[in-house]
Amino acid sequence: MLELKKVYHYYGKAKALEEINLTVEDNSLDAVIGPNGAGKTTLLRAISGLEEIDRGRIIFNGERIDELEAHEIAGRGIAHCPERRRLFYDMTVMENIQLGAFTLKDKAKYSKLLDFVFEIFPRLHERMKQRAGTLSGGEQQMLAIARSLMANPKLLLLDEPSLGLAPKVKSRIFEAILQIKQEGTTTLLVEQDAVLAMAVADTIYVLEDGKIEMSGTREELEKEPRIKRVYLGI
Amino acid sequence: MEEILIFGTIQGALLALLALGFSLVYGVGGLLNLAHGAFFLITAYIVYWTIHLLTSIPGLSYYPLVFGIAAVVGLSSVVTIGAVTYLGLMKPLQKSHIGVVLVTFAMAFFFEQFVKFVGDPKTHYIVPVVPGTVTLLGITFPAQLLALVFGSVILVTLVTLFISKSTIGKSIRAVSQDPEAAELVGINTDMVMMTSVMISALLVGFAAVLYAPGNYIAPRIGWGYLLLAFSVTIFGGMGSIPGSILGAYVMGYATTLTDYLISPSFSQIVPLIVILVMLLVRPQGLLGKKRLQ
Amino acid sequence: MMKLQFDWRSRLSRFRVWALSFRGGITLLCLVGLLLVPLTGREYLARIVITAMILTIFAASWDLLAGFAGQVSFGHAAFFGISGYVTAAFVKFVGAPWFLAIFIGTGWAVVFSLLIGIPCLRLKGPYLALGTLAFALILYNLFLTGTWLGGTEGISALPNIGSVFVEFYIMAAFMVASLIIMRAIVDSRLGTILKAIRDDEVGADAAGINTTVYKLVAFMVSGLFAGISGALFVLDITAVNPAVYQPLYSFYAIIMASIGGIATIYGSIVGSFLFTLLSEFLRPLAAASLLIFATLLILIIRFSEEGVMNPFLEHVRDLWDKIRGR
Repeated sequence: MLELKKVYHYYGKAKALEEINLTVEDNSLDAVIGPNGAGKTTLLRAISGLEEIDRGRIIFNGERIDELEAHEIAGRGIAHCPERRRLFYDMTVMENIQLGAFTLKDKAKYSKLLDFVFEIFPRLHERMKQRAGTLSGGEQQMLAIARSLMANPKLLLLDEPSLGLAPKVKSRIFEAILQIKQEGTTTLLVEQDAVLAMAVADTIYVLEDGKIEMSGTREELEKEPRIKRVYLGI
Repeated sequence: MEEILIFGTIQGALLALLALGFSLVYGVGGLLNLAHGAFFLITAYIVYWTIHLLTSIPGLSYYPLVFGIAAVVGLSSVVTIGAVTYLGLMKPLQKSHIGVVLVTFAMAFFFEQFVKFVGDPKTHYIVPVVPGTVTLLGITFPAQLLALVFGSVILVTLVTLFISKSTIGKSIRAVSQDPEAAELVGINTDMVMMTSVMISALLVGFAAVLYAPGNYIAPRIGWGYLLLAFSVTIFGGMGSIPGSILGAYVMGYATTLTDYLISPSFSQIVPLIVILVMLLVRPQGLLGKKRLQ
Repeated sequence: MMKLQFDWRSRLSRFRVWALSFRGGITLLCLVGLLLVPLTGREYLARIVITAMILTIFAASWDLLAGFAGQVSFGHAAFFGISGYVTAAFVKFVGAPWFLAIFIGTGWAVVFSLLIGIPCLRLKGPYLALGTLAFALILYNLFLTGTWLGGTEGISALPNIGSVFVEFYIMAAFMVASLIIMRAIVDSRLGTILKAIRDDEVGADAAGINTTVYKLVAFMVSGLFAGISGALFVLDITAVNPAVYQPLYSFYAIIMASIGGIATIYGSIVGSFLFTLLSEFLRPLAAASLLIFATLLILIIRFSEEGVMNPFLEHVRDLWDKIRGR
């Protein structure tokens, strides 16, 4: 579904991404883990078109997308749920959800998605008319994911969905991620909490200092002593 | 007292039309459009020229029809000018906000010279389309001004509803709150900004169509209208739509009041002093957000 | 004695290195060219260049405040105008010699820079722009409606400060000195602090910089040089009227500095000379001249984001390097 080939990105002279090769298969849930500042967010921003890459190519369903603008990429079916939620805080929960479906023209599909979103996040249904800025952190994260789901994406990019949340809320969010996976939405997840990410992901990429240092399934990575020590704390 | 009520309302209606679009464009894209007053100028002149042209055609003597055609020509021209200005000048310079300020200033200067060159530097008069006078609460004033008040109230209501309810309106609000997040849900932010510049041009164009008849027009008038729009917008809070409407009427009554209480010769300075005091006491404006850029 | 000689020699060799460097060479060439203008004996040309030199100081003063301290003023005409008026009044009504009047006028400009700077400290972006613009407009209206200092007519028929060519060298001296001082200021520690405030005010504050004081200093220095240019302007045209407070003058400063390149100081020279010469050369076209001028202005702003000076110098430097076979 998604393929990155030798992608480089620089901030001025500083390398942010270096020779990134990455493939996301249909119906899979893949995760990128790594420390703060490793380039995880930049990677997602490059895919969704918020950052222009300097070299390499990004291919989505057979089409090169690295030269498209962000809204065009969104129109192709990639929904990027950004770091720190980035909701439309002065609008209501419902308006945020409606804007999520901005590219969706199919009315029937819209109500189906709405039902699904309210099924996995019943809290949002209760707070439909509330302004997004007044929600709690966990509810805001739910709304951000819901907004992305409303586009009926072929590929969902999730950036740090657990950031700043209490453990209980974190696991609630990850339950929802698993539900989304079961519905068949391909997902690429970026997460600092390696334990949580490895628990749900099919393929895991370890991003350090802008480079992919390792990749594999959970079983494969758990055998690596360095992963154990640095990321799993065993 | 009745005078202040009536003339303040008229002034407020004009200011609302001028300021709403200016504030919208700033709120959506952070674009400070110094050609805003020039949009008023060019609309007024296109209307004037078209009336001139049409009345020279024999058989076309029904003035409301002539004026109607002229108004449509003027409004469609100014909306086109708005779109072209955005695509050709503002969008390429968007990254540096001073670039937008400079290029729109140059635009305003250009329109002033254009009007002078194509027409002449003299003042001209547009015959009011609504003839006669109206007497309300014992005050007599030109009926054209009543049309201005009605037109302004209708347009401001329509635009406010459009922005709060329609899909395009929602995308405009989304871009003004977080342009990047708006791109991520698939909104073309450039299109949205162009649309808001066009709406802004339409509103200021309507101000010209409704207010210029019965008044004198000259190449330099654009600057005065720009200053009014800018002041009201700062007064109400940059980028806040309810703020600029409220600000328009408060300013309208305040200037009319000072005209009567002090002296009309100070009416140029009083709004400026009001603005300065406002900036010092409450820099974000009446309804502006706390956080300034 | 020995030591002095040694010093001289090192100064001289440093000067030679600088003069042979690209920037030094260009600067010297321009300076010599400038000083040769009066020798052509063409009064008309000298007059235009005088105007350009005065406006250079004005544009550079705006650049110092906006380009380096990040305080974009739309009301620079206030400093320009107040100094012009005070200078004219002292020459006309007190009979003060012109060089003394300049000091008094400039002093008033500095006072006004504080008067405007202090209330505007909290303002940013469009708010600061409108605040400064409002101040200049209030002055404009006060002088236009008031009866003091000549009312609408202003003050005219000031004595000349000398023949055109004498005046030329006086103005040239003022311009060169002002530019060198402003450049020295922005290259000094003060300049670094101002840039820090421009780029990240909160950060600068956190680093222990008293941003309030430094912003005021920037306002005062900028007001000082704008005041000098206003005084010179009035002495040059030997008259002053309320039009000096017009927003148009403030925008001239902004446009000239931007054409040259913001945050360069020297860009103002290029901008002002281009601006003055262009409007002068277009004059024979009468009614069309300002229209063409406005069109060119739009094109220049649209297609030269960094101003014209630096990109142009880059091209010349490439050529220079090629000629020298590097």
